[in-house]
Amino acid sequence: MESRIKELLDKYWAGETSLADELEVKEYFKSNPELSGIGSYFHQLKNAKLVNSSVDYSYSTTKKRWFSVAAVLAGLLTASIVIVEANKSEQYLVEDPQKAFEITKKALMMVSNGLNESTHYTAEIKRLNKAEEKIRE
Amino acid sequence: MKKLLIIIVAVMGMNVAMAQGSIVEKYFKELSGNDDYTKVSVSSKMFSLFTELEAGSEAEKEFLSAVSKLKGLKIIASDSTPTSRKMYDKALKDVKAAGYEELMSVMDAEEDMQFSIKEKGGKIEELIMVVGGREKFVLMSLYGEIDLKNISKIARAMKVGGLENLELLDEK
Repeated sequence: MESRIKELLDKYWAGETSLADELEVKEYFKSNPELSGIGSYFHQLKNAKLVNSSVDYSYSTTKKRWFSVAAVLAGLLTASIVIVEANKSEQYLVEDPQKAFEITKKALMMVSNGLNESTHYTAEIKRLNKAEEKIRE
Repeated sequence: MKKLLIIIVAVMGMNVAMAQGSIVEKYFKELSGNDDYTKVSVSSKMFSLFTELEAGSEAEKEFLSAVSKLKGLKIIASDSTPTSRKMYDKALKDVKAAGYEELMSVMDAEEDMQFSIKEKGGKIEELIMVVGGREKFVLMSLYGEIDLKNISKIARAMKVGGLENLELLDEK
């Protein structure tokens, strides 16, 4: 047994052991931790590996995952804002050319009338008007 | 990082594109659930359809020439709003706060009216009209290239020959 373990250990340090061999070595030292320094090495290795692997795994991958989730959410949010905004301005868009024409005609007439009306009003008349309004009140 | 930059640039571009007529847009949003108000928006595509019409009278010519340079028209209006006075004052304040220059205002017994403009390089690129009457409120934004002389001629020419003859025939 001892020589077999020794042989396996040499192979282990050379990095030539198969998974089954490694398991055998580890099992041996696990059951006999008091045997040597190497035994406690394997013990520590086992514990350290457990701690390290679990932390590393959860840290790096979950963080990365959160980044991608956040990126997707940000993308969706931007897209939805853009779509909602676009819809808002489109919502009242007149599709019927006939209607649009009537509206444009009315609107421009209104503006035109207003512009003409205001040219009749000098500042003087405006002031008089205001005064008149106050008297009426 | 590059993608982020592209998104930022795209969003900023959208904002610039939406800046014109944005004050009316704001009121669209605010009054979206209020059926007392009529909300209308006409796109430049529509305007380009109108320019295919043939003008007969002087008024029609002025009208089509004014329309051909427009990029958009947005109106929010009501004939039956009890808060017209409040809305009028609020709109004037908002227009001023948004950086528009007051052009002229008319006050008479029936209603008040104010025109404001936004200029760029000596040209008017947006005209805002606010009207407040007894129960009447109108907020209108015309944007594109605006020629006030041209627009004011429409009404004057109307007295000679009306716009009635200028009807959009079969649109197809």
